[in-house]
This record gives sequence, C-alpha cells and structure tokens, in this order.
Amino acid sequence: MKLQAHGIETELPAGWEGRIALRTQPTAATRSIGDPAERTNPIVHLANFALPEQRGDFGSGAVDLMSEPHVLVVLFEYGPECANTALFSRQGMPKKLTPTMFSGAALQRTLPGQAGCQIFFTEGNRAFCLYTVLGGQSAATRVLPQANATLAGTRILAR
Amino acid sequence: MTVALPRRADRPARAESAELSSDGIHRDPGNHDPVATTTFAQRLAHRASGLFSGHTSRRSFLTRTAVVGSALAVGPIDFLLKPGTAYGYVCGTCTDGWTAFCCTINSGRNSCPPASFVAGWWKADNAAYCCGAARYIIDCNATCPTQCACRCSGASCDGRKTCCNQFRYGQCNTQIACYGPVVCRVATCTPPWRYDPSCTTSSATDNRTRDHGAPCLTTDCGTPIAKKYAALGGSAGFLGPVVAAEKANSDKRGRVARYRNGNIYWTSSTGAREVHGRILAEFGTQAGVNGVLKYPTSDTRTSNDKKSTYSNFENGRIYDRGTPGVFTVPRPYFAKHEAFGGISGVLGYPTGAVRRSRDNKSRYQNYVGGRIYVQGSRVVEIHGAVFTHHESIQGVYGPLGYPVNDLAPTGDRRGKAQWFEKGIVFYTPTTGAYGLWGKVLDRYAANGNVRGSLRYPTSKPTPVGDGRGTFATFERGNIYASSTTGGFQVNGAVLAAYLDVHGGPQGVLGYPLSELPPAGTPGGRIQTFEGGTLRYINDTNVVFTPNP
Repeated sequence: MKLQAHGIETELPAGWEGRIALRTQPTAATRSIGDPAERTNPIVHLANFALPEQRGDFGSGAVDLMSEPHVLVVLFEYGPECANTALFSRQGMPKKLTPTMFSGAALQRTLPGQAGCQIFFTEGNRAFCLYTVLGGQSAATRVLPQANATLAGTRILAR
Repeated sequence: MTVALPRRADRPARAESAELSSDGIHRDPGNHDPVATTTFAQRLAHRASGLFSGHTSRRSFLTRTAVVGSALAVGPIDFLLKPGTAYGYVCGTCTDGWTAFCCTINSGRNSCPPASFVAGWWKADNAAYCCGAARYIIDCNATCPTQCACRCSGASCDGRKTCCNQFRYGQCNTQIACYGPVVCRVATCTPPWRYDPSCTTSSATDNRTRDHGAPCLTTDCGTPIAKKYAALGGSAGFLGPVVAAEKANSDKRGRVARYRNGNIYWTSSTGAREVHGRILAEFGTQAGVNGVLKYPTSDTRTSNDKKSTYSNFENGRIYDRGTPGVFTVPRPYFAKHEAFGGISGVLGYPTGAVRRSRDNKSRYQNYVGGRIYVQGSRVVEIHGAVFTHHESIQGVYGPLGYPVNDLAPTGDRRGKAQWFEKGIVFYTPTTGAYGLWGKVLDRYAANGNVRGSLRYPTSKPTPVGDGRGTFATFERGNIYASSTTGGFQVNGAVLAAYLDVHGGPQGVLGYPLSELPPAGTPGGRIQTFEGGTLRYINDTNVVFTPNP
C-alpha cells in the first residue's frame, strides 16, 4: 500500500501500517492546543504492529505496546529554518539502519529491552529526524531488514 | 545554590563513534548505554532510597498541583488513596522511562542546570497545569562530552531518572550537533521560543505527559495580565487599584486592563507589559495600541545614563526625560536612532515630536545632536558638524537639499562625507564640515575629491563678488568657477601669484580656463586664464603673460 501526503510518500511492506499526519494548527481561539505562533509539520508513523489512535509524535502510546519483533519508524519534520544547521547537517534520508546505530538509551522513553536510534538530516531543504524504535534490541538483526525495506520505499519530495 | 550533577566515572570508548556521527547520529558517542548495563537496576534501587532529603506527603503534594482541579473533583477518595493511580502517574518513578523535572534536581530551579542546554521541546494539550492551555516541556540535554551519569533523581515524588535518555527533540540550539542524555525537563506554560530564543516554533505533541508533575511544579493559572498585576504588587503596587477590568481590545489581537496609575497590555507575542505615568500619557496621544507604536514590548525601564525612563513598543520607544519632555521615537526613526547608538550615540535624546517639513517632502525628528529625515522609504540621519553646517546654509531648502545617505567614512582614514541631493559635505576634525555643489563640486570630483591634490575643503562655494562666479578653498588650493568658464583648480605658487599679484578672478587674469598641467609637459607648465597665462617655473617664480 502506498501512502502519500505533505510531500512525503511511502510504500508499505506487507504487514506494515502507517500514517502521514499533520496536527491541527493552533489559533487564538484554540489555545488549549498551543500558541498561534506554533507551526505544525508533517509526521510519519510506520510500524509492523497495530498503531493506537492516540500517539505522541515520537511514538509514546505506541512504544508501550511493542514486543520484541516490533519496529516503529517515525519521520518528524522541522521548520525550514532548521535545514542544513549543524544538527541537520547530514544530507539525505538514511536508507540503511544497522544494529550498531541503536542504543537502549536513545529512546524518548526508555523501556526495558527496547532500543532506539535518532538520525537528523536534511533532504530537499527540508529538515527531519528519523527515529526508529526496536521492540527488542536483541532482535535487531532480524527486524532491521524490514525497517530498511520501509525506508527504501519512502521518498521525501522537495517543496 | 546549584546542585552539581554527579560526574561520570568512566567514558567507555566506542569504536563506531565517528561512524555514527557521519551517519547523522549526534548523540554523545562517549556516553555509554546505561540502560543496557546490568548494574543499572542495582543502581536504581540504591539511589531511589533517598538522595532527596525532603519527604513530600501525597496529600500535601496534591493540594499544590493542578491535579487537584481535575482528578480530585472527579473522585477524590480514590485519587488520594489508591496506590498506582493519579499520584503515581503525576509523580512517576525511576523505572517509568521518563526523565525528572529540573526543579527536582536543580535546587528547585525550573531551568536547565549547568553542563546542559535547551535542546528541544514538546507540548501537551489541555493541561490542568496551565489552566487548560497547552503545557510545554523543554528538554535540557547534557553538553558533550557528557559530564553526568545515569541515575534516579532520588525524590520521593518525581523520582524519575536523570541523564539516562539519550534522546533529543531537536527544535532548539540546532547549531549544536552533539548532545548527551536528557538531564532534566523544564515545564512551563510559556511557549519555548519565548522561553529560549534558540528554539523554533515547530511543535511536537505528546499528550501522555500532560500531568507529569513534581512537588516543585505548581499550576500556572490566571491570565498573563492578572499575573503581571500580581507580580507588580497588585492594588498595593504602583499601578494602584483596578479602574477598568481586563478586556479584549477592538483589534482582536490584544487585551488591556486599566488601573489608577497605569495600564497593562497583553498580546501573545509581546506578553503582559505595564505602561504608566507620563509615558502612558504620551502613548495615549499616539493613539495607544491603535496608533503607530502598537503594543508595549517592555515595562518602564531606566536608561543606562539614569537620565530618563523609557518603554519599548512594537514600533518604537517613548522616552521620558523629565523637564525636557516626553517624546516618542517611532519606527522608522527608532531603528535609525538605535543604529547610531540611541541616546548614547551621536544623535542623543529626541527633543521633539515627529514633524512634517515646510515643503511637505519629508518628515523629521530632532535630536540633541542632529536630525533624522524620512522621505518615503529613505531614512537618513544627519548630525554633528555636518548637521550644523547644513542648517547654516538653509538646510533642506538650501543648495544641498535633502541628505540621501548617512555620514560615511571617505576611506582615507581621515575624514567623512555625506551625500545630499545636490552636493556633498566633507568633514575632518581639523578642517570642519563644508558642503560643495555645482561646478565647484564637479571639478573637485573630477580631480579626485579627498584623494586629489586639494585634499579637504575649508570653505563652501562662496560668491566671488563680481556677480559671475564662485570659489571654494581647500587645504591645498582653490577652485574657481563661473557660468561661462566652468570650474578649475588653482594651487601652489600659481595660486599665490594669481591672488597676491594679479588680484584673483576680479583682477586682470579673470577666471581660470584650464588646470595647471603636470611637470614634464612639453612647452612647460602653463595655466590659462581669461586674461592671460601663468607659467610655473618653480615655487618662487611664476611668469604672467597677458593676452595679446
């Protein structure tokens, strides 16, 4: 299945599901969801397990449900002012994740057995963080090919 | 007092560190993976037993937090007494995977501790802590190389971890690539880009952290204006009692509350700012927030020289100097004034309001040391000796007209020049400021202006007195010009002979018709005048030959 929105497209492998979302922009009348000056950007969640409806942008709510064979891929976009800064100096979206990139500490919320990897990059003058969570670090070798296949099918279009 | 973060005991090397960085993975490679180590659980158990000396009871904590208003109202008994319900959720534990709040580990300060930096943020919607508005959580990540070690905070409530989660939200300080683990979290109702200008407005959301709390975090309720008024002492403060309750302005952008001695204005971009006294009166004459100045961006401040108070606005500033008066410096005058040092610079304090010129071609504002003219999009300052000289020759109505750029160095490290519509004023501290225009300026420019042999002017173009021409003096010569002859330079021994022996332009020679040619010219160095020639032999011998 192919997902396409907000200048991002991805071909989901069998057994994966995903969302490309853009949160509601706060206004003066909706201060409960933030300040009108905030800018919302596209967020991609891809997973080889059922994603819950209520999720944090970096996967909270979803990571609680993960078991060892599960992978969550988050592609989080930042404003154009971030593009090509030191943090986002890497050019191009990573297509190959390896076990050595992952750490049990590199998680938004550290949960037993899980491991994460954050890669900040710029592509087409758009700044992103690719955040990948493994349900079990010990299964990295087995599940990363799936994640890499997903990344291979994901394209960021220049804006 | 600042709590020193526990130092790492070791920094295991990682062979893949350089490789990770080139892959765009900027977490500190020297910070080992504490979560994966077998000693971590032991360390948690050890530390959790009490680095935090003060014990906070469940009831006393809950009565101070936002949860009182939400959860307590729904089921107070359950909420207070059931283990593992809201109390546990708000307080968290060392094993819940989240990081402790900064006020828990930073001596009560809700800010990043030393050796950490604001690295990113997220928000939680509809937060009771912020009275139903969005709540912002700002991560403080350790700077590289990481100087802290993964541990539990040790607090009985908010016993979460510190320096364990090597994760970065990434909207702040993006000029810093390398980051260590999250040391702690700042919780605020202030948008992060206003809390720290290094943060961008790209928002991330995680509503599951909405009610994460700590005893040192309190609710942040009340309108910004109400909080500002309270912070200024309320009715006992200098603003005095309320005379008109807070209300939205007609511009639908901001709010205002009026007090006996001043007002507080608020917008989402400016925050809540007080304006009072004579500055408020002047603000009123400028039509307040509906006028050119728009909303205040500061409270009343005292200038560095202690000679005035002032308030900043979105589009300018108001100065109160006491006896000299209260004056508004609106945009674009304000930007120009600031560019020249503000009240400490060459222009000094404003001395009047913005006025329209008699010819209706400009608006201007006077300052102690000069003036700023605005003509359409052109904003030009004029000050000091140049301003005095310009004024002495009828200013913008005189031969120079309006200034077209600011005073600028001439490039010889000696003087300065300012361009006008019809001429140029040259200035050095030794020669003073003199304007040149017309044929005199044309010749001066053709001869290399300040880099030519004449150097700087020592007079403006002055009528010779014969009804025909003008002349100007320079450090090393003169230029004479008439309507029929154009302008020519005369200098050195030839000038001395021209003036002292032959009576200058009103004498037998009349006006020059050429320049003195350079040494080595075939036929000699002869300068031609209307009534004859002057041949330069040497500095003491100049020969006059009348026209036949």
